[in-house]
Parts: sequence; C-alpha cells; structure tokens
Amino acid sequence: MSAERRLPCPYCGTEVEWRGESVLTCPSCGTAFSRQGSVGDHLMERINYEPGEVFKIFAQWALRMPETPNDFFASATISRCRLEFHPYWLYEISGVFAYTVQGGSSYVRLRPLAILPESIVPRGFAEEAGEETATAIVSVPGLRRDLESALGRLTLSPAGKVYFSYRYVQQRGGVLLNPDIPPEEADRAAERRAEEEVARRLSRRFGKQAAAKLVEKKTFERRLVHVPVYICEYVYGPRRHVFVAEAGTSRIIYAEVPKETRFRVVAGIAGAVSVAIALAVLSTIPRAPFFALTAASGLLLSGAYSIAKALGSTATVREFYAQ
Amino acid sequence: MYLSAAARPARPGLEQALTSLLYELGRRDFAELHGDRIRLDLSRKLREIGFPVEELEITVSLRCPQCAASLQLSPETVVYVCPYCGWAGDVYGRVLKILAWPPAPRSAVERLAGRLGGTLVSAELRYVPVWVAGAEGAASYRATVTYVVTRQHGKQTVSERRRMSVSGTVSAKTIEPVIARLNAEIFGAEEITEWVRSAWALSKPKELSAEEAKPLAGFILAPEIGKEGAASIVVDTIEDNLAEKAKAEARARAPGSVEDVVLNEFNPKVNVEWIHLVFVPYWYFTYRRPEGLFVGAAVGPEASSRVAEAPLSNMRRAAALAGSWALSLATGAAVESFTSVGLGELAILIFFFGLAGVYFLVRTAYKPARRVRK
Repeated sequence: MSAERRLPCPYCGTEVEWRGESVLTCPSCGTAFSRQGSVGDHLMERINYEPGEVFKIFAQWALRMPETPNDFFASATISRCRLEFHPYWLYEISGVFAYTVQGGSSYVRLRPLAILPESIVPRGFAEEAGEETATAIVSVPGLRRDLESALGRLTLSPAGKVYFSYRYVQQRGGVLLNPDIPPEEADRAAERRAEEEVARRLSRRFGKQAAAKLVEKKTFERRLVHVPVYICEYVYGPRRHVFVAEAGTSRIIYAEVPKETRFRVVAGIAGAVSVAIALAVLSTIPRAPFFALTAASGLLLSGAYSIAKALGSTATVREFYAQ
Repeated sequence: MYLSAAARPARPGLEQALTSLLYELGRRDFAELHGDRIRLDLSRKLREIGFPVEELEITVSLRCPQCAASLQLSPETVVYVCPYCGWAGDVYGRVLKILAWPPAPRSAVERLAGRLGGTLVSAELRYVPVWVAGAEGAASYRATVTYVVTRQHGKQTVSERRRMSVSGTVSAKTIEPVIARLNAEIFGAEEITEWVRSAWALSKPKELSAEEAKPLAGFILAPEIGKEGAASIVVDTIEDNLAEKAKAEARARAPGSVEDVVLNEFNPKVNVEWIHLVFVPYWYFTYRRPEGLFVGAAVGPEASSRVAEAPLSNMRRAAALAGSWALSLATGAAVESFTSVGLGELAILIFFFGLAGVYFLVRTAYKPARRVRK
C-alpha cells in the first residue's frame, strides 16, 4: 500500500501530496518545507538566456579545441531542449574558524651536507595556529544524482536570486526537481565546505597548506535555490550531441563536441606508430631487458594517449564558460 | 520599478483596491516581488476587504527613471545605462557617473588579425565593467624565518639550520581593478585588469554625458558586482598582497639561505579611498587561418593590449610526439646503464621522471591552440 499522505504548507496551509520526499514545494506560495517545517528562504534563478543564445556562445567557445571541426559554428544546429530546475542548498556561514598552518620545515643543528644517519631525524616545528573570523558562501547540490555529475561542481552566489515562483516554472514549461538531500545532511556538508573555503584562503595568505575548523558560529543561513538548467540536443552531421547549460548565466556545464575525422585519423596513425616502435623495442629483451621494458613503457604510454584521442567520435567538455 | 496587477472577476472598486495595495507592495524587496508568496498575500488581502479574486497576475518591470522606457535586465544587474536616453544609475534609481575610454576602430582589429596571419571573421565590441579602486593598507607582522648557514668544520662542510623571529610593518598603496561580472569567464580578463592598471596612471577615462553614453548602451556588459562587493574584493586582494610583502621582507632580513617563512601574527588594515565604475572597450574577435578559426581579444582605445589563440603548427605537434618517442628510448638506455652498474634506486627515479616527461610531451602534441600575448 502506498505511503502517500498530505502535508500542510507551513506558510499558506495548502495540503501538498507527500510520498516520503525530503523536501516539498508548495504549488500555491512556493514555500519549501519538510515534515519538520520550513527549510529556509526558497529562491530561484530566473531565465536570462534562451537555448539558442547559449548554444551560440558554446559553439564559439568549442572552436578553441583542436578536435572541433572548423565548420562546427556554421553547421551545428540546436534541435530540442528541456528545462529543469535543479535544487541547490546555498549557505552564508560566518564565525570564528580555528586554523593550523603546516610549518613543513625541520630544525636541526650542525647538520652535515652528507646524507644523515637515520637516527638523526629532524624534529618538525610545531604547527602555527590561530583564529580567523570569516564569512563563506557555499553551495551544496540538493540532488544526490547531481553530486557525481558536472552539475555537482556548480557553485552559486546569492546575487541575483529572487523568491521562488512555481507559476514561473510552469509558464516556462520547466520541470521542478525537489531535493532528495535533506537539509540536516546539507548543513553538515556546508560546514565542511565552509571550512575548506576558509582553509583555501588561509593557504593562499600563508603560502602553505592550512586546515580550518568552525569553532563559533555567528551566522548560519540556509536557503534553497532552484537553478534553471537546459539539457539540449544539437545536430552536427548525421549525429546528435548533448549539452547542458545554466539558463540564468549561460554557463556551459557539460557538452559533447564532435571530433573532426582528419584529427582522429592523424591521432590513430600516431598511436599505431608508437605501438609499432614499442614492439620493435621489445624484441631486444634478451640483450637489454631494462632498456626494452622501460622504453616500451614510454612508447606504449605515448601510443595509448594518441589512440584514446582517436577513439570515440565526441570529446566531452566539463569546463564552465559563459558570456 | 513599476508594478502592475490584473485580477478577475472584475468588480466595482477592485481597481482602486488593487492600486492602493500595489503602493504597499512597492516597499517590498525587489527579489520578493517575483515570488508566489506576494501574489498569495495580495489575494488574501483583497479577500479580506471584500474582493475574492480567482485570478491575479502581478507584473514587475524596471523602467528608466528619466524616460520611463522599459528595461530588460537580469536580476544580477546592479548598474545600467538606458539605451533610449543614456541615463546611467543603479537599480534603486541613484544616478551614477559613467566613465569610459573610447573604443578602438574595427579597422584596428582587422589589422591585428592580419598580423596574426589570418583574416578577420567576426568582431564584437563590448564594454566590460570594471571597478577601479584606490586603496592603501598597512599590516604589522611577526614571522619566524628558517634559514641555513654553511661553514667549514675542519675538512667537513656543515650546514646549520637556524630560526629567527622577525617583526615589522609593511604598507602598500595601489590602484586595484576588479571586473564587475559574477559568473562569466571573459577571454583575456587578465589583460583587461593589467591594461586598466597602467592606463589609469597615463590617461584616466572620460566622464560621459547622457548623449555620449546612449550609443554605448547596447555594447555594455551589465555590471553584476556592486560597489560594496568590489570594495570587499579589493580589501581581500590587498591583504593577500601585504602578507606576501611581509613574508618577502622577513625573508630578506635573514642572514643565510632561507628555507621557510611562517607568519605568526598578521594584522592588516586596509582603507579603500575611492572607487569608480569604468567601462573598458574590448573587442572579441574570431579570425581564420589555414589551420582553422581562432579567437582573440583586444583592449583599449588603440587595441594595444591583446591576447589571441594561435595555431600550434603540425610541425610542433609532430616534434612533441617524436620527442616523446626519443625520450622513451633515452630513458630506457639510462635505466639499463644505471642498473648494470648497481645504481638501481637511481634507475627507478629516472624511470618515473622519464615517463612523466613522455606524458608531458604527448599531451603537448594534442594541446589546443597556443596563447599569444602582447
């Protein structure tokens, strides 16, 4: 029997169907809530770019890759797109972070330049430590499946976000995805990310690896942000390819780019030549085994890299780029 | 900001009720006005005063405070220039001075493409928003420097590792440019900030009148970082620079060869004296060479700061590939030689370094275009 129930929206009281989700969105007022109540302000990024505009930006950018055919910009055409609103937990965390900076060096008197006997192992300095008052803006994907994908690397800022509108999602024909990572779990992940962010800043300042721990929270503000994402298909030659872009900022999140045939042929020949030389070198094993095995390893590495470039008709892009 | 609302079913007095409620909504936050909650709240209030409505639509639009033209802005935009009347200001209607350098003519970009060995395919003029801040800062510090001194001890050379505590004050006074865009990667961003830093000292940008600003509006990339945000970035940057300076100063005070500097205490104080928003003319272009299409960017009134991608010739690619083969063979020969004389550990080291070199060379052979800067 289905565990279906209805939960009342804490803001407007609308009964919303609940099938065990971590977080629900009220279709009447846009409030995001769990069984425990509201999960914080519910915001969204608005759509500022149409799929065609984002595709044009992407196609111009893709020309920088050596694999991309020269007629890509002129010949590739966008075929269909779907719009999804992906959830992210966005935090503003401020407070006191206790940190340690790895001293890294050792101290010993009268150390001869010659290699030291093992008994005279230099003693490391005590780690430098202190406290830093800092604020970090961090985001955590709301969907587990996004964690492992390119969408999991998306970072957000609170700038430009507006209050959530379910009506807007419907008007734009988008699909709303509710988070399956509960807020409590996201809170813990956000705290870790804030500590990593502060540690990165301190590492930059001190020029050494630093570690930070949040010891006193001053602000811990959680918001749920829905980000509009286009998942599009485009056609180049006889094949269809996928690209994923953020509709608010035009950031390309993931893209498949067709490889030019000439590029693949040349890379394939280079790979075959490398492997052929490696086989020839291996024939010298009886006379010079270390030479044969070492040289063959390098040649096979070179050959494998070339063959990997030649294989597959598409290259994938996971770098963010926006106009 | 303009608000309008439409509600059904129509009833006498509904229009007046809506108008008075919209005045109240005008005090709400811009972000809030886009949400479903505001519509629900308005609908409830109408019901309370005797107007039960079935459908309610609220429209929020930004209009130029001078000519009332409707403006299409992304919510990230913090400053805009009206393309109809040239009015410039922030989203709260506060007037702002617009400073800009004149753009280089398109012919300068055509010549640049020619110098890169190609022909111009497309060129887009944009004005990149940059906050330029004049700031000064000072920091007191205490650092521990680890250094090594070497001396002769009989026949043996010994090195002595020592620590010393150093303290002092460093200061800096700089012009710091911050590109006022949030998410975008701008091709040649580094060239833009470098150019602004040097151009500011030589010839400051001109303040534009509304008439002068109007034709530029279509080319302006909307600033997405506000004054406060930019000032905070400037403070962070100067703090990092002061820390670097403190470490360099501490390093210089040690009598021997410095191994390490650790800042034990660092107390920076930064003052942003002034901050202006300037628009930097920037051409983004593509050009064609026999090897394919490449991109480039030119900054400033004379397109004097340039960055472009240029092809890696087939000869260079082939050389890198052949180099990976030669290095493989050379590494094999070295490993064989060292092993035969009993230096196995060294041979292992050479093996790994050799493979790393092979990987580097083969990657170079398939690298995208090289970057050319001037």
